Amino acid sequence: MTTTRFPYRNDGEYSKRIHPVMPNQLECDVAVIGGGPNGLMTSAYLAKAGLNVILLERRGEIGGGLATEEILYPNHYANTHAIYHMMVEYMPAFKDFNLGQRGLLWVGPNAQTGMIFSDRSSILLHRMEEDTYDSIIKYSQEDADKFIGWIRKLHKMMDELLAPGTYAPPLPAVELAVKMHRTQIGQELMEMMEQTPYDIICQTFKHPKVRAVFLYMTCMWGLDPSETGLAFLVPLMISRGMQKYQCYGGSHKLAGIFGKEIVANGGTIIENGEVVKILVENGKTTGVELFDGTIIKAKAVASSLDPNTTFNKLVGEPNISPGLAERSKTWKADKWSLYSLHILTPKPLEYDVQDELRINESLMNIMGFENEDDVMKFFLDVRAGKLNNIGGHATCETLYDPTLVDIKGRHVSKFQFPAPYALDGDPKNWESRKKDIENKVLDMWFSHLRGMSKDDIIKLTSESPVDVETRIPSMIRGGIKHGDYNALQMGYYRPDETCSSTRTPIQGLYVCGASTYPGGMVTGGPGYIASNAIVEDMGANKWWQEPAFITRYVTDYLKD
Amino acid sequence: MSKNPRYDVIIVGGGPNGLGIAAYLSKCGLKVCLCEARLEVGGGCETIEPIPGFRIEPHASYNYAGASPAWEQLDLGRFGLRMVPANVWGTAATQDCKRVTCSSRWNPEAVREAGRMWGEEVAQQTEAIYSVLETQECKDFLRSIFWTPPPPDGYSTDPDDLPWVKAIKNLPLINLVYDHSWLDMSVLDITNIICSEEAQKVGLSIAAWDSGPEFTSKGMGIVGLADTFLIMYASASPLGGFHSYAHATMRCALAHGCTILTNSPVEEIIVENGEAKGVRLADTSPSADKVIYADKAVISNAHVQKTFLEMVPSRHLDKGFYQRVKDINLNGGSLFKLDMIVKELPRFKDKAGEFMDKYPACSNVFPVDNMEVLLNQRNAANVERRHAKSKDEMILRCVRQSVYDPTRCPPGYHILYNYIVVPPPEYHRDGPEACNKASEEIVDLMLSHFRDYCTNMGDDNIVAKYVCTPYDSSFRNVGFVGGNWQGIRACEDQWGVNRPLPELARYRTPIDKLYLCNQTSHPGGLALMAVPYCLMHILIEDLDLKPGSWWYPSPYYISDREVKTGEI
Ligand SMILES: Cc1cc2nc3c(=O)[nH]c(=O)nc-3n(C[C@H](O)[C@H](O)[C@H](O)COP(=O)(O)OP(=O)(O)OC[C@H]3O[C@@H](n4cnc5c(N)ncnc54)[C@H](O)[C@@H]3O)c2cc1C
Ligand SMILES: Cc1cc2nc3c(=O)[nH]c(=O)nc-3n(C[C@H](O)[C@H](O)[C@H](O)COP(=O)(O)OP(=O)(O)OC[C@H]3O[C@@H](n4cnc5c(N)ncnc54)[C@H](O)[C@@H]3O)c2cc1C
Repeated sequence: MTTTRFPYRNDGEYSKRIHPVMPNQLECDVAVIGGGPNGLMTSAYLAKAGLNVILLERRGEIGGGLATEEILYPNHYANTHAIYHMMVEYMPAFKDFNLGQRGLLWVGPNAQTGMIFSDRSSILLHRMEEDTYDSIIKYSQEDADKFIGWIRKLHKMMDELLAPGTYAPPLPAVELAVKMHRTQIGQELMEMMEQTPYDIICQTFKHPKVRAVFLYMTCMWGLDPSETGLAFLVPLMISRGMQKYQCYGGSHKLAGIFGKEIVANGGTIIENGEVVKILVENGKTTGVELFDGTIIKAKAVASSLDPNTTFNKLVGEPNISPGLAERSKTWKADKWSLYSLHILTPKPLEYDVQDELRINESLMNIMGFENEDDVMKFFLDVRAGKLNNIGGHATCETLYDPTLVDIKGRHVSKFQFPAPYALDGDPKNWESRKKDIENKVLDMWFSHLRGMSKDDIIKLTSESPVDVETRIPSMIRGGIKHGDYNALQMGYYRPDETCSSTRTPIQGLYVCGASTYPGGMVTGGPGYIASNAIVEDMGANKWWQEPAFITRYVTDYLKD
Repeated sequence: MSKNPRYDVIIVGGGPNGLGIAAYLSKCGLKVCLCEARLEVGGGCETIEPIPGFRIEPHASYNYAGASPAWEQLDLGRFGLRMVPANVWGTAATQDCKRVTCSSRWNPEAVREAGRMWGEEVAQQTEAIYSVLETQECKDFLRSIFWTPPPPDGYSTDPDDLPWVKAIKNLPLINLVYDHSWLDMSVLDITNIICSEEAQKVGLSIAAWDSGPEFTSKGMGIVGLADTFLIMYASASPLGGFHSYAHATMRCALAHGCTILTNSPVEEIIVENGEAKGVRLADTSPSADKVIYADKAVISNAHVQKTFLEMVPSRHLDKGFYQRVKDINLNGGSLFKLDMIVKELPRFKDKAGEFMDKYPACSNVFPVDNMEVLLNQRNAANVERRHAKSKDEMILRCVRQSVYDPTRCPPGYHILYNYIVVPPPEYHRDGPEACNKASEEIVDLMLSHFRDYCTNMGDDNIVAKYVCTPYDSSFRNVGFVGGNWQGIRACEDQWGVNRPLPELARYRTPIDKLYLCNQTSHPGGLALMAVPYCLMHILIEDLDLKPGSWWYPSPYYISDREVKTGEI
């Protein structure tokens, strides 16, 4: 047989004979690579600053991790990637773009995170401290008392240091340490750094069930429970784990709003626009080239992809220093990814628990663990590429967002857990064991449900770490953060000490994605910091004002 | 809460026609708000990725809009739209797989080679048709039908005054055989005049049926013929799938200041003193304001029945009118759709297989040489009101966009979009859920049909299957009442000056300031950007719009004023 797949080239012929379509040469001030939350925010800030922006997205939809897709086709949607928005109160973009007034709604119920045990008991963590206190006290008065003081401290660390730190460029580790030591709260944070997440949780709480829920919450997004040096993420994960919001109408809605902002300010969005080359001349970037031969000339380029892709694959050796090439090549992917099983049922899920009435209103419920040792073992297994016992977290997405289904009354839910990319050493195992894993997950999950059996499932689909990578190849090995969280890849070193300010050694090239300081998740941090840098470097109109909580951090904590 | 927001124009629905008119009016400087019920705009122009890496199109897949003025006027290329030309557009196999017919604007060699299988005369005939496509007269002919509003009430009934009669008389080759008796013909009748082989007749009939009127529908022959020209003329699809087209149009609207509210179903079109004043959104809308006002117009991109039977309170409507809307026929475009992910393209047997391997096409039809089968499928759906149940009712269409568009799926795979026509769920003799219940049987029949023609369509080649019935479509997109891809039947009673009803043909309605802009208005289904272009002519008059120099009207347009003052 001759070839059955043809490459597509944007050669301008169609424009000549039939219709004017997109030209194969374009020009702009800034070309942004990748339409995930960071690329979108960068583009939106810059477009509104009067720069001519072209955003290039490989997929047919912008959004990256902000994806709401009809995966239970036809008629039923789910958030395939990010669903829990954890920085809603802090992200400067919310005020800068007036998102609340723009038809964007977040639902953040008081019942935030439950953990359900095999004896039908449960813990339910709430946004409101007192409610959480009441739930913990069932297990331990001491832990409940401890919780209140602890959570207040963590929220304070969040408000004063961690949240503003998310939106200000990083300082070298030593310099930051010196500055942190000047305040008590800073000192406490630095002390935490020396411990492992596991130690911190076990020192704080006594009861195994209480430890279990906090340990899972701390590590579910990719923090290694036995790694030191990163424990500043513990307060962040715990504090945010009780302040999660779901985006009404799907997470993709957030992407849509930034998309509108870009276009309304004269920017262009090109989907199906995979960048295959960043053009560099004399140490300065001049634009990008797309897979179909389209050339986009640009004065600056901002890449939201990981450093190996940006520097080694798209820029290429002759234009980067051997040091940067080497460091990018050894960039470590996330230790684990996420597995998700999505189901469609005729009614909402009802958990069979005896104590917490509100568990069925909870945004997330964790199950499959009895104590901190189970949780620890689970993460160590995952890190080793194993999946021995299934445990994880579940969300009924339509509980707070009925718009995800076209057929009223039906419900879409997901069960998700941290999962290795190479299962038992080989990513292909996900495909060969697909049915088996789906069944195991369902058995465990449904053992906690009341009034519903597996036969009630109308449709089902699962997405493994390999699937995460297939949808979005820049999530290498299914990495949800574009790169491991370890001491050498965090803070000032993310992705590299020469680039963590978002500026790179190549003039006009910036990095602005999850592999750049401060890291992954829908925080908008890298995008915000890059926007500041680019606007300043290009002398454009910085139309936004730094929020007071960031200014306070910079002037109070970081001043020399 | 803030005072209820006011706009110049509110558009109900974000399908291609709603987006198109939003873009046009925003570009004219009006303050426009578009409310879409679903979480994404696009209506019938969607591309989704149900499993990672594979993109399928729930509805529209072929682009027909090559001759549309709108692309140029709205500058859709500036908003990222790229087209993937299909080097070979379609091939169709005979029952014995010994011959094929082939359609391709870009590959004359393939057309010639296929034509020769039927003899030198047929080869020359076919080539000649393709030469017509390259003429300005062809574009004019298409525009006279699709991109011209129906003439106003009171306009001349002399056939020589009809735009498309004027245009067809200039159309090379066709003008040699045209006479006014064509006006009463069906596609089938016309094929009897212009084709010599049964395969050509079936080919044209099915192309017309899948793009517009039923091939047996009297008086719709010219339109059906024009529909087949539309396909051949465009011969390309939007890169990345049909949703890209919606994106480009949406972004044109946004760039000109349009406000778009998604997840915002309109529950009521607010009418006061016979005039549309605004809309009321469902409580589920994230918009803080559930009531929005429009000073100049409310434009419904929803199905005509949704508009008048559900959104406009019935107390504002005349009973007779209400009944006529209810009576609108939904037949003729409900598709049972089977999407498949395969490792190899279907490998046809014999000579057909050799040809198709040499010239992989964007679509296949089989069998192409038996009019009986085509009639059987039509009769099952429209007369007996049931889905096809046996192979002698099975003529299958298979769309394969992944051949030319590398973004549809990873290398080593293909996406097949297969369909047959079935009755709208409302009309199915076994009830609305009949096709859903019989889904497995229908799929088996389709697969068994595949296996009669192809050697490699076993289970090992098929990675995944997705079914979408018309019933599913009608939930997915509340615009598709009956799951009908063209909204309502395209027949003489419901086309041109009669679409969807004579009193609605010029997009105006019995409610002042309420206009229609859905495929249920002229010229009907397909994402042609034709409804908004036509509606613009009316709105320029009614709203006194002053579009810039980018705008040009249809040369065939006849204004109400012209009819009233006898200026023509
Ligand atoms: C299953 C899953 C669940 C998650 N859940 C949550 C959650 O609940 N809460 C949360 O906060 N975070 C969550 N995350 C993490 C979050 O989605 C990511 O950290 C975040 O999206 C990163 O944003 P980004 O803009 O840096 O990159 P991305 O969102 O990855 O976007 C990068 C974009 O670049 C595009 N791209 C790739 N290569 C090219 C190229 N060559 N040219 C052009 N474009 C290209 C990609 O298609 C993609 O759209 C989850 C992630 C996954 C996978
Ligand atoms: C299976 C199938 C295959 C097709 N194949 C092709 C093809 O290959 N090529 C082609 O050109 N065309 C094709 N079509 C037809 C094409 O999709 C339609 O002609 C086109 O989408 C009609 O556009 P529209 O804007 O008039 O209506 P729609 O696309 O139906 O859009 C109407 C919009 O209005 C919204 N809406 C409805 N009610 C409300 C309300 N109360 N409030 C707010 N919003 C509302 C709907 O959600 C929808 O988004 C196909 C259709 C189907 C079903």
